[in-house]
Amino acid sequence: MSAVYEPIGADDHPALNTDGRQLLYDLVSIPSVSGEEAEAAAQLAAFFEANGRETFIDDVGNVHAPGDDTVLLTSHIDTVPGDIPVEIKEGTDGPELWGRGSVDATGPLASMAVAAVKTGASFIGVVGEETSSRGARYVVETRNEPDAVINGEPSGWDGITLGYRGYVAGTYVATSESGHTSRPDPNAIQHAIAWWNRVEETFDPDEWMPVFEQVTTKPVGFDGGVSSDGLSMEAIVDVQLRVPPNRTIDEVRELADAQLETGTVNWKEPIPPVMTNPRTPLARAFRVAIRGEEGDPRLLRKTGTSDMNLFAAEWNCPMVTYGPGNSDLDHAPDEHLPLADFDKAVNVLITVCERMGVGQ
Amino acid sequence: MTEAECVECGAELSLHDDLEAGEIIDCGTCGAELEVIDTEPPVLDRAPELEEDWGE
Repeated sequence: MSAVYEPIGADDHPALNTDGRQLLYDLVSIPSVSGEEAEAAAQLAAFFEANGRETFIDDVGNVHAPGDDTVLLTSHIDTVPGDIPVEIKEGTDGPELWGRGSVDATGPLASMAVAAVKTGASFIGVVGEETSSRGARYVVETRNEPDAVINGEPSGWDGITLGYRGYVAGTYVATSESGHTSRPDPNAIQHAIAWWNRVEETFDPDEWMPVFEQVTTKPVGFDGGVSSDGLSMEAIVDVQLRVPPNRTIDEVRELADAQLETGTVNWKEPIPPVMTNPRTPLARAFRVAIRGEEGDPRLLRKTGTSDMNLFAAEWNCPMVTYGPGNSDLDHAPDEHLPLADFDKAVNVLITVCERMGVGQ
Repeated sequence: MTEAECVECGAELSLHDDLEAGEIIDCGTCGAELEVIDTEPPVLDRAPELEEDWGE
């Protein structure tokens, strides 16, 4: 006998008139900042159990609902920080759910949970996407490859994302002997600035080329000054490089390293770029399903990174990223999702699973 | 084998029998990418172009 799903965020609002909308509201109501996903994970697992699906939570906190591996539906449970009051407001196209995660990516997550229950497709809610992607990394290390993957992130209910740039982050560290600042010799901070200027020149932006096809550079942290013992000058710079599919992580890292004259860079675990084909059966099923909901399908490639990069690095099956919501609202203080878009995304996902042969 | 007209250049296209909705085909004359909107009868339209977007 199935367990009973207990809504935790019920406010008797008339717009919460489907199981899916209620699940979405509940999951958005539970804070689930990266590293603190356990309560939301338990609620998600309860939804599957109430619908007769076996579930388990793995060693890193991912929620699994094993099913028909013709399609694996997977999205992330965690959100970035941000306290946005959870409420339903009347928008231009009907009721909207406001709250952290409504777009990135609890909307995609809940729509996939509903579609998985309706069709029997496999499902995994992963943790830690907004930080280290530890959930997705664990999945590809421990799970067999499915026949197709639909990764959840906001593409808009009428769009699918086919590609993401890769990402590599590093920390530059240099030291120099301390000395009077009237001396002409460059100190560690000057070495750091000079290195970074050379890296930026190496990957000089081309205004005529799409950003997706370029390496872009971004310093994200800078620390330095005289060391605590007063004997040396230090400089520490945290940097990020975004890598297009036509370049490799190794190539980009080597070009940045080649600009070093003083100091070293400690590179962190990279995320490779991904670009999938719009002619796969999976992408085709999405176009048909979106048109079936009277949408005009959009094909997207994104300049950021998602867990699809990690899935594509290990698995060769067709994959796309999909989910309701305007990605301009990712991490934003006015994050909100029209509930009509959520409903359409559920319908699109169900149609796609059925066209791919889930349950047959 | 059925035929349809390229919406881009007007050339006649010979379509294979197991055409599927959502399929993308190329016009052999102008090179345009065309999407099969319907199969009976065949309806073609320009395939969506790849757009660039920010973020995740």
